[in-house]
Order: sequence, then C-alpha cells, then structure tokens
Amino acid sequence: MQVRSTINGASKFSEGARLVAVFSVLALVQLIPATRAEAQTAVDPGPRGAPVGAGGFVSGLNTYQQQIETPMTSFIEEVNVVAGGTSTKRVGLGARFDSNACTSCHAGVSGTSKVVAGGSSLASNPLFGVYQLMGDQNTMPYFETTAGPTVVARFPYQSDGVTPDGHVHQLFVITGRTDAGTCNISQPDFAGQPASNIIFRNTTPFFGGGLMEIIQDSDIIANMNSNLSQKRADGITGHPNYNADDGSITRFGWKAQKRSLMLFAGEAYNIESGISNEIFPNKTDETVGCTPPMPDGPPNGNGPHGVPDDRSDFANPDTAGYLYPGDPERFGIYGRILAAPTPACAIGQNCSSCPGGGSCANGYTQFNAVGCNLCHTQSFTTPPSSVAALSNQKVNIFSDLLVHDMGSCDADNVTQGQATGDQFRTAPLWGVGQRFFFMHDGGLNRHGGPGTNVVQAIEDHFCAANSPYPASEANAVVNAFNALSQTNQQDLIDFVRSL
Amino acid sequence: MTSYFKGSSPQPGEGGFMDRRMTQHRRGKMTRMSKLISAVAIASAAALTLSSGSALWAQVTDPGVRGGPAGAGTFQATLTQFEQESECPGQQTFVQTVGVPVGEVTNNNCAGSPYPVVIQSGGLGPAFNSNSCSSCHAQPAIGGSSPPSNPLFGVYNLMGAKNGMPFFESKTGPALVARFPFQLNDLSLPDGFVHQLFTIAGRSDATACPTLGQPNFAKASTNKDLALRQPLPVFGDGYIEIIQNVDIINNLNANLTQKQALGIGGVAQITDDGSVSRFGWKAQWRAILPAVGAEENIELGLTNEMFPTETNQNIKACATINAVPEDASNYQYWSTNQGAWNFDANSGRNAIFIRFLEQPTPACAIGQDCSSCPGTGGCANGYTQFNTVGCNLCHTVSFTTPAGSIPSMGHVTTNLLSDLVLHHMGPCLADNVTQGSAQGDMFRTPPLWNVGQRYFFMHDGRTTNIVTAIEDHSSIVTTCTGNSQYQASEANAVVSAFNALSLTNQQNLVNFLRSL
Repeated sequence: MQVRSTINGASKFSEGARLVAVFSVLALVQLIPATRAEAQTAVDPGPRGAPVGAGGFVSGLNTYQQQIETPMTSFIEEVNVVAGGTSTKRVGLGARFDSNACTSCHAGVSGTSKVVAGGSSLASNPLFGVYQLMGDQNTMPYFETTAGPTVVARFPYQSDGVTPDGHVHQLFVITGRTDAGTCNISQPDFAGQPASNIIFRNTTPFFGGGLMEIIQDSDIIANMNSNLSQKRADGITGHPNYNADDGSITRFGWKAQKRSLMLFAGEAYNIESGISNEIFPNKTDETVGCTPPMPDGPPNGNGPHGVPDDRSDFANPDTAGYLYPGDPERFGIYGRILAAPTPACAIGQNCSSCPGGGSCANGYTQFNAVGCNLCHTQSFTTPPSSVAALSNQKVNIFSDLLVHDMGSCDADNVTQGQATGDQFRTAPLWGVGQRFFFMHDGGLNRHGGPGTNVVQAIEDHFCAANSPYPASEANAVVNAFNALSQTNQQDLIDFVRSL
Repeated sequence: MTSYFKGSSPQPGEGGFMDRRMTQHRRGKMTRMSKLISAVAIASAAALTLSSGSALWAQVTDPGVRGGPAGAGTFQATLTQFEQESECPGQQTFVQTVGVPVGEVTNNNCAGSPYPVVIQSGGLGPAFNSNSCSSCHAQPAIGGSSPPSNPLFGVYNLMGAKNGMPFFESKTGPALVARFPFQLNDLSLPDGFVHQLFTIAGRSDATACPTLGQPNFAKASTNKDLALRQPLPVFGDGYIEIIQNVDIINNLNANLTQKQALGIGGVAQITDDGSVSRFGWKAQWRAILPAVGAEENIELGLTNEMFPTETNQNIKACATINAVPEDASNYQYWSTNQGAWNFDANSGRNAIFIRFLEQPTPACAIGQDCSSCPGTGGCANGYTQFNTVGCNLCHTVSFTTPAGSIPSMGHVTTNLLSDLVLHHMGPCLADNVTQGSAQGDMFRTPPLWNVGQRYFFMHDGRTTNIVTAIEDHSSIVTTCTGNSQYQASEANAVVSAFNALSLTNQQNLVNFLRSL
C-alpha cells in the first residue's frame, strides 16, 4: 500500500510532462477534423465562493412538505454502524462498503465550511475518517488520497480479463470493527488489479434531482432531434439510455443508468454502505458471520435482525408518517424537495459575483457559440408535478440527459444499459462552479491524480478515434473553444465557474 | 436515431380492425388444433424412439384446476400487530379500480384499523393494460394469476373508451400483455418493451385526451414480432426476495453431474448490486418494491416515485392530464396519530401487501398422500416421480430464508419449486425478447407453488392443460418453425424421461402438480 501511494504520488508529479507528451502524440496521430487546435492559456479561477446557492429546499413547498425538511435532513446525515446505537434505522453497515453515510461523499460545495447534503466530493477526502473507525482493519486503497476525490472502484472485466464485470467493488470491509462480531473478510486486491482493469467514479451531486426525474421523455427526445444539422456538422449524436422496465429514459449517474432518485437510493444504500433494503434486499457479501443477525454492538445492543437491514417501519401506527417508509423512499423525498443550485449570476448575465472578474454574459455567449450547449442543453421545463413546487419549472441543468461517445481516452469499458464502454451521460453543469473534481474518474484514470482544473476538464473532452472506440463527439467543440481568443476563453471559463 | 415512442396510431380508414383480427384469430386457433394433433403424433414417435417404454403421455389427463381450499391469498400468521394493521392499507391499493383523475378516498374497508385508511386513487393511462392490480392477479385469490374469464373484456371500453380488443385476447383466455421483440418500424433494432393494449381516449373522465391510438398489433403479428406474457402470482414473494444469493448459486452448482448428463445448465440474472434478480418471466426484477413501481406504470399507466413519467407521451395533452408522479408520498400525513401508513405511496403499500402474503398451501403436504390429492391421487408417488425424472433439477423444491428483519419471515422453508435462474427453453418457447442476461429463448424456472390452481400455463398462456405444459418444455416433442438460431431446450431429457414413465407414474406426477 505504501508503495502504491508512492507510485500514485510519482505519477501526479509527472502529470504535466505526460500531458504534454499526450498532446504531441495526438497532434501527430489525428487528421483533420480530429486535430486538436492549440490550447490558449485560460485560467481556472477555482471553485467559486459565495453565494453558496445549494443545499436549500425548493421554494413553494406546501406546509406539510416544509414540515419534513428538518427530519429528512437529519435522516440523510445519519452515520450508519454495523450494530448498536438506539435507532434500527442506522444499523446494517457492510459487510462491504465504500462509506458509512450519504453525506460523507455527497457533501462538497465550495464557499461553505459545512457539509451541504446532496453535493459532490469534498475537497478533503472523507474516507480517511471512515476506513479505520471503531477498530476497522482496512488499508486505504492506493488511489484514494487525502486531497483527492472520493472515488469508488469498478472492475470492467472478471479475473479472466474477458468476461464483463462492471460492478462496484467496495473499498472497505467491516472486519475488526468492534460492532462486527466475527466477520472476517478481506478487501479486494486493488493493488493487484492491472491498471487496465480498474476504473474510478467520482461522486455526482443530486441537487435538483426532483426536477430532473420528471422531465418528460418526449422533451428529451425533441431536444435530441433539434439543431441536427449543426450537431452533424460537429460530429455530435447522442442517444438515451432506457430503463429496461417501462422504457423510460434513465438519467441519473455517470452513464445515465438510473431512472429516479428512489431507485438510485436503493442501489446506493446497498452498494455504497452495504445496507440491504426493500429495493436490494440481500447483503452484497453473504459470508457466514458477516450477515445479520450481527451480535449486538456497543453501546445499546441494537443488532440488525436480518435482511433487509432497512425496511418499512412497523413500530406503531401512531408514529409520524415520515418514519414509516424505508430509507430509499425517504431519500427520494429528501432529494425531490432539494432545490436546484443557484448560479452566482443569473444565466446569461453579468454580475459582481462572476468568478475571476470576467464577463459571465460574454462567457455564456461563447459557450453557445462554440457549441457546448449542443450537449450541455441549457434547460428543460418540467411538466405539472404532484409536488406542486416542482411544476412547470424551467430548470437550467446544462445537460441533454443523453449518453455520448467520449472516445478511448475517457472510456471505462463498462457497459450499463445502452451506455457502452466509452459513452457517458452529458454531466449536468449546474453547480459545477463549486465542484472540486471533474470528469467521471475525478482525473484518476486519465491523469493518475485529481483533476481539479476546469480548463483541463474541457480539454479532456477531446479524444481521437482509437479502436475499438470512435472519436469523442466533443472534438469539434473543443477545437472551437481552443480557437477562441484568450478573452473569450477566459470569459467562458468564468461563466462555467459561475454555475 | 429511431423514435423511442412505441407503436403507431391506427391509420385513417382502418375500421374493422377488430373483426378482421378476430376472424384470423379463430382461424389460427383451428389451425393450431390440427397442429397439436400432428404434434402429438410426432411426440409419440419421438418418445418411442427415445425410450424403451411405451409413449403413453397422450393418455395422461390433467385433472384440472383443483378444488378444495384455495390455500393462497392469506397473510402470514405470525406478524406483529402493527404489521397486520399495515396489511389492509396495502391490500386496498392493490384491489382498487383506478380511473383517470387523481384523488384521495377514505376507505372504510379496513375493519379493526385504528385510523381511517386514506387511499390515493386514479392515475390510469394514458396507455394501460388494465385498471386494477387484482383484475389480472386474481386466481384463486387476490394476488394470484389470470382468472378463467379474461378480465380485460370488462375494462377495455369502460366509460366510453374507444379501444378495440387486440386479436390475441379472448374471453376465456389469459389476460395477456404484449411486447414487440423488435421495433415495429425497423425490425433490425431491438425493442422488447411492453406495448400497452389500451388508451384512455374517449373515456368520459379523460376528455382532455380525445384521441390516442393503440399500437398496431396486427402489423406486429404480421411481422412475427409479437411476444405475449400472462400474469404471475405474487403469493410468497416476500420470502423469495430475501432468499440469499449464495443459496441460489450453490443450488445452481449442485447435482452438476446429473444436470450435465441431462443437458441442464442455468444462468443467474445478476443485477446492479451483484445480486440475483428473481421476479418475472425472465427474472428481470430483483425485489417486490421496484417490480411494483414498474408494474404500476407499465400495466396501469400509474406514474410513481420510481417511474415518474408516463410510458406513452405521443400526445402531450394525454400525457399531462395528471401531474406526475400520480402515485406519491402523501405529505399531509407526515405527522403523528394519523395512521403512519397513510403517508406511504401506493407503491410502498402495495409492496407491503405482497410481502406479507403467505406462501401457497398445497392440497397435500409436499411428498405425502392425502384425500385431497387431485384426480386419481398418488401425490406421494407423484412427488417421487417428479424428482426421479429430474423436474426438481430446475424446479428446486425449496429454499430456506435467512434471518429476516421481519423476524417471522426468517428461517422459513419455502416450497417454491424453482431454482430462480434462467434456462434455455428452445425455439418453440423462445420469445426473442432479451432482458438483462435472459436471452430470447431463456426463461426463469417459474415457481410451481399454486400451479394446481392455475388456468393457464407457460409464459404466454398457450395451454390450459398441464400435461401439454410439460410437453411444451421440450423442443423435441413440440416442434415449431422458425427460431432455429436457438439451442435445444434444457428440459428435453427430463421431458423424455417423463414420457418414458408408466402411465400410473405419469398420472401420479401430474396429480402431484395439481395438488400444489
């Protein structure tokens, strides 16, 4: 593990040099129109400061919905244990897990010193406060660094190197924890995986998720079919990822693999925290001694009784209604009433908070002029919603909610639904001004270290065709960006950081 | 990019669709009967060549849907008081008939409930297959399979709806839903989704949606692009969803020598978290709750917190009649002393209702004789023969649940008679629909509990005769044209072994099945 950290550190130091080398190789290999135009020297002003503009609730909620804001917030901030404590709703961690609370990873928003539930990776990796809690015996995988993104790991292929895997392999185990009884299992051998068979994913925020989940499929399709001549000229296509059940367009996650907040939550509880629930009712590791009932842990003897760890609460019909559903439903409610991020300046306008002292208005113009908006579609309007506050809202998500070929440079070789190995959902850019890490891997796969620079992130959208993957659909747009004057580039960057 | 939206509106002047289809259907049925006779002849010949015994299966008779106590549809007996009090609010959502407008009704059907039960109503369509869960999940009790009389004939033209009845539905047939394996307008592209039978157009409670066409099932049929599926019962699903993955995999890997000798493989359908997906004809669902969410939207058109937008958005006025999701958490019951369940969405309550349904009780205890053994009896010997010929290699008799967080559901032996994994079933059963790792010819071994009380068999309800259903497992005995890309059915050797049994043993085996 020590050795690995050193290797990682070394690759971080050499990142700049490697980047230059990659650029020259690209310049040689690519033919028109895939040649990368010379990049200018725009500077990332960094994660913007005030106003925070994230983590609040949708305005216009009715009295009842407002009443549950506080209890839902404390629920989402719960720290889970294997056994013990006073709440049956907080037990069930592990046997394998990535973290012990939703808000350890969905937490980061620049410009605030406190956790903002619903965000992305914190500037300081929270897993270092988790992995050895309560006597836990984990070693920290080499790719996690204190100042790096919180990432989870997937292995594209099984050990034969051919059979697809693609699942998350949890970072940690509960072995050694004082509440983990005799459970004795080992972490995956991350260090022993070939570099080609381990891929990382950074945390996505879910602010505004309630608005996103009800956008009509017909509107997504209509947007996909708009500006076709311009898209074709730029080599942009894109297609939806579909849910296998009702045929609707899935839209959450790096590959648009999840349809709704509630379904996402069910999966995240079990995959990230190991808490089986009414959507995924069994443990991800069923080794004897590691499944409930676990011995009662300290201090109050509240061991989980069996699977699913989390379920509807049949304690008493007199209890508050919001305590009745299982956690995926309650997470869905929390995410649903969480407001969309508010940008520093109104979209398309200048204001004194525009980061870097630039012109956010001109930056927005350039954003559209070079064609960023062909995939990062500025807005959709929601249909009438049964949560009235979500109805008929113009939401500035900056995403078409489709998946696109991004080329071999970013390909992770994981197929999820209709999203193949080099395809990713256009990441919504709302809130991007306050993010610390960029791209699905937070920079780790592509650069060997944290990707914290939004200018680099733009350049990372470029990739020449390289079998088996086609060229990135973003190539022409990145070239157009690189062809802008330095002022226009900088304004565009400042606009992005205003979001 | 091909349009995602399913189906196509009827073309102008396409009147008479119904009559033409029905005529073809009747003709088709007659043709099938003669095909069956020839299949029987072929089967006998095949059986003769495959075994030294005489081929007597044609003389075995299905004693039919068994009588006696339903033994299904009751709740688990050992639930706590509040768990029991949560049953009825769920049941009331399962049995309600939904119309288009969304509303809320206070329901007084839950005697003994300490609080009024508030039910969210409405949300039907714009496209739908039926208007109530219990219309199709009905036999022999609420939560079951297709009733003997097709409920859709009481649904399709309710309240002025202008639907034609698709040709493949018949009054005494199973309630079927339709999938198009490939896209209707481009057979080179996969589809596989359910295309709802009906729309709300014309209903007096849907005046904002005067026109919305049904899919062109006739065209799909002409294209041989129509896959039909009948409802599965949900009894005992609360146990199935917590069976450990490791137990399913260990069972898959048990008796390998015998399985391999008989050509039996099997593949688990692995889902997002690495667990074994296990509900539905292709094991496409992992758990009750997400299956309920999908089914609410697919079958009723009832959008919910898992599937929040309408399946048919062809006409905006129809897709936006109601705010979405139509079925949602009922925020006004967030507080105390209001009946905690009233906060829960219908989807959550439905899942609780299903979770608490007891596993079906057979007419005789498994492996034993009793006076209720159907037909000529011999359930004990029938069970022996069931295992002898190898039915149990896929229709695994039982699993035991692990410790349950609902304690009474833990450590329960469940006689589901399924291994919960997928098998190749040959060209004649293949429906060309791929769902996850289930390819076009693969199906989950359906649990046989309660099969004694079912009217229709196989995924598409192709027969009412359980003996025919056994034979339909074989791609030797049953022959068909097309689908030659698929391998032989994994059940061939076992069906041949069944056909080689003495008539008495065959009949006892069939009687045993009908005792379930």
